Amino acid sequence: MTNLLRVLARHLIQGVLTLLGITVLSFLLGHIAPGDPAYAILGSDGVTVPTEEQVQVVRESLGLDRSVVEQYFLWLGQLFRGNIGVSFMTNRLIEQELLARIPVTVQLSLLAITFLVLTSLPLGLFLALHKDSLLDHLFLGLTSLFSAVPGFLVALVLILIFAEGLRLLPTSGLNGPTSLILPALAISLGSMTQITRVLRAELLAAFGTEYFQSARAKGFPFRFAAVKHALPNAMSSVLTLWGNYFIAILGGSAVAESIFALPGLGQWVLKSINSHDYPAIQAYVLVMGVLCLMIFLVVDLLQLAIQPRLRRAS
Amino acid sequence: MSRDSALRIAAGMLIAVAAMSLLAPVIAPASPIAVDMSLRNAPPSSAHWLGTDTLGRDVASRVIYGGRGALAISFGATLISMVIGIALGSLAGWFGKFTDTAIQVFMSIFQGLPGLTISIAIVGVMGASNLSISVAMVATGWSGISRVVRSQIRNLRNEQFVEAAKVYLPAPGYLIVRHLLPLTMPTLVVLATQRMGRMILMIASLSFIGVGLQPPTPDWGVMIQDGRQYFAQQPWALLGPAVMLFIASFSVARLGELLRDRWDTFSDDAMAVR
Repeated sequence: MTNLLRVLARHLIQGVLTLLGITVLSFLLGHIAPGDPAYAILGSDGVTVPTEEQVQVVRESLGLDRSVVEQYFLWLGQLFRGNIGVSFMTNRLIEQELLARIPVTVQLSLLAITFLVLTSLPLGLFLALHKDSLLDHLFLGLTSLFSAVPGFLVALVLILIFAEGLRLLPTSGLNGPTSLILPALAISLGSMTQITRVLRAELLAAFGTEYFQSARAKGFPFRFAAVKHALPNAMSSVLTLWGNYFIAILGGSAVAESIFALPGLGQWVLKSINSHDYPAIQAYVLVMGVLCLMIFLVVDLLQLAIQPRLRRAS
Repeated sequence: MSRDSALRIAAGMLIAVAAMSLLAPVIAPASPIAVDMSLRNAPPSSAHWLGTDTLGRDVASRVIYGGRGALAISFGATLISMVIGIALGSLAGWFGKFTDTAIQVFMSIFQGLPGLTISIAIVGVMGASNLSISVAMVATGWSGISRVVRSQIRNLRNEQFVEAAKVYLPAPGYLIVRHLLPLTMPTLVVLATQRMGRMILMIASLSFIGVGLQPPTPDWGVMIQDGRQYFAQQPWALLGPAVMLFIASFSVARLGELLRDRWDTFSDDAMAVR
């Protein structure tokens, strides 16, 4: 148990370091952004031309007259107090905007990863059990085709079929849970084939191991042994892969939100970019960083749960 | 189909796409940006092979020109990512200890975020331009390469031939370049190919959502976005660039896969997806 705690502590420390790194990245993004934030704030109505004195006062109140390192720590301090900043564009607090938009992006991504898990798991198992069948060959052939199709093209095809052709699902806006189905499919379909292929290969490798052979020798039927003994072992690399694709899905949510007009983080940041709203872009990077770290943490914990030998490792 | 012929087909497709892009000014039947408002959404004809788009521009010419920006940027950005990734990965793998930890922490920042998020943020802050897109591609590309190079150098570091080489080659930089990197060459080529395939798709995605190459640049991602509205009247304005984008990214990715299988290199699909 103490070992387990030590492993967890190490993961947490790594996570905190990465998080600090992401804050540096986010801060630097704001720092290299063109234009003077003081001007941007004073002239946000587009009419006022601020005087030099006014600019100086705002610059001092924002700490812009200090060194970069000092500015970073000032900014970090504000961040810890939950003060992410004020949007140049709307003059509203960014955290209000975030609170409204995070749930949309998170729901969309969760639905997408659920699709991914629910399709790749049974399909990988099925293909491994029916190796070299017609379906197996067909699927492997399709994998490289699918990985070359970007999510936005998948989205356009889905819209064409399910929304415009069959008129089954909505194409834009957020009206109830059905509006998330197509966007979630669009960002998960491309990676489904990749993960299925990895799971299939891992299972086939596990079928050749001694522990699997001894399970078979005990008289367990092949399918039972496959699910009970080979699958848990194949899971560890698939779990990492799911985690990585979950992160890719979070990034891809911006594309899906833009196509399907969903009021999530991605759509918001794209709007913010059009109006040069740099604090919003910084906040976007931060929130994505935190969400990704949470995914890493969950994957780590699940790995510890399914792989007893990790708990013993130094 | 044998492995060799599959490899030849993939390489041939890639060369064809590259040649088409390089020779676009010679091949294209018309200017890709010349607007002709009298001839909007025209169907395919002998003068306009794929018809015209909603501004009366020749779709075929735009499709032929459409890969130039993305292919050039992804090729250049892949090379720069490789140089940075190899340099930092070698440093981390060779020296270990503090150097390794410092580089690892730096890497984890870039690995802890989705590539698309980093790209959107960089292009968003710098403004959309060839330069900012290239910076974004390098920022998302180097860390995966560095990770693989680091683990390869770590594995090789304690080999006997390295110990022997240390005797007459005291400079680690030279030793790494002369003796270790050549051994990782197959892996590096596969990594570069996979990375370029991803970059082509990522640039197309950025252009599609409006933070990549900007209209009126003839670019496949931009064209697919433009073509959406008038898909019913002029499907080729969307299908043309979509098919070419697919061929380009498929041939690069397939080439990477086939080379990986042929050389049986350490494959790192699992970590490189982001």
